[in-house]
Amino acid sequence: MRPRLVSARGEDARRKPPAPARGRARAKPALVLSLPSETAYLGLVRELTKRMAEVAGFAEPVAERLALAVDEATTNVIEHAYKGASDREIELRYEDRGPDFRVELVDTGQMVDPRAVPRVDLDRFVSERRTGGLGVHLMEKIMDSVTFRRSARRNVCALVKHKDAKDAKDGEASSSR
Amino acid sequence: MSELTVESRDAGDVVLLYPKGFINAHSVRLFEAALQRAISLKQFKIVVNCAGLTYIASAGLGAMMGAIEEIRSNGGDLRLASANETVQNIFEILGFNHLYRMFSSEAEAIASFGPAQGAA
Repeated sequence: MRPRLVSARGEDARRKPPAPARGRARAKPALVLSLPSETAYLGLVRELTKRMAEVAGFAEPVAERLALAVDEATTNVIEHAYKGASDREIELRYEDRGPDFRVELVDTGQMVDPRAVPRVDLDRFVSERRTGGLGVHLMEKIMDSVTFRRSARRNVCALVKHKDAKDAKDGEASSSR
Repeated sequence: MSELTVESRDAGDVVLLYPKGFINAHSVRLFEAALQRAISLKQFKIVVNCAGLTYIASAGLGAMMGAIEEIRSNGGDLRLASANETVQNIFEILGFNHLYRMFSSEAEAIASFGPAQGAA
């Protein structure tokens, strides 16, 4: 399975195109990518996320961190929802919502309860040789919001970063719209 | 596609690891193998020179966590040198900068272990 660009115009084959908004600004179309559940594609996910974040107006160091958060979320899907199976599909949906940059990951794997992920305690990590839970911890530290929901037998992980002026590229407003 | 290479060399009783590229859940096995090779050779004073490391995800940090107890219980340590801003930032986000000593240069990291034991 190769990565498939489902749409750069918000016309995902499984979703109806959004109806034209009336009386309010239309959201920018999403960029949607479908890729196999293989760790070999994590480099691509990272590069794409960094570029999308920069296009949305984030400075490079912030874009790097956002790329890390999405890398971690994708890794979680592969390792936990799909239990390492490499023949499944992950959908990544990037949206520049003006004040927010939002990335959704959609999978059809096993539901994973993020509340079951133990909180990171560095001292215990050393003494118990634990290595899990770092990814979710990183995601929560980097993003303003990390939510998980189950909908129509699909897991949806939504990562949101607000556009603060301090995170913006030089000369750009806090919102790229 | 070569996402990561890890070369190594000895400097007295310190082993230097040179990861080049990025460490994520895909490439981490190479990094883990380099750490385990040092441990199996009883080289417990390890400096990871991060000058060529562009990025490290939690998988790489997990690899270090998985090895650190054995390294320290044998009188050694795992120290880092020459990390770029991105890598330093990731360590700081997780508080790993409190778990691992970080140095701005390889020479400082080597010197931090003190004189080589058994050296002439």
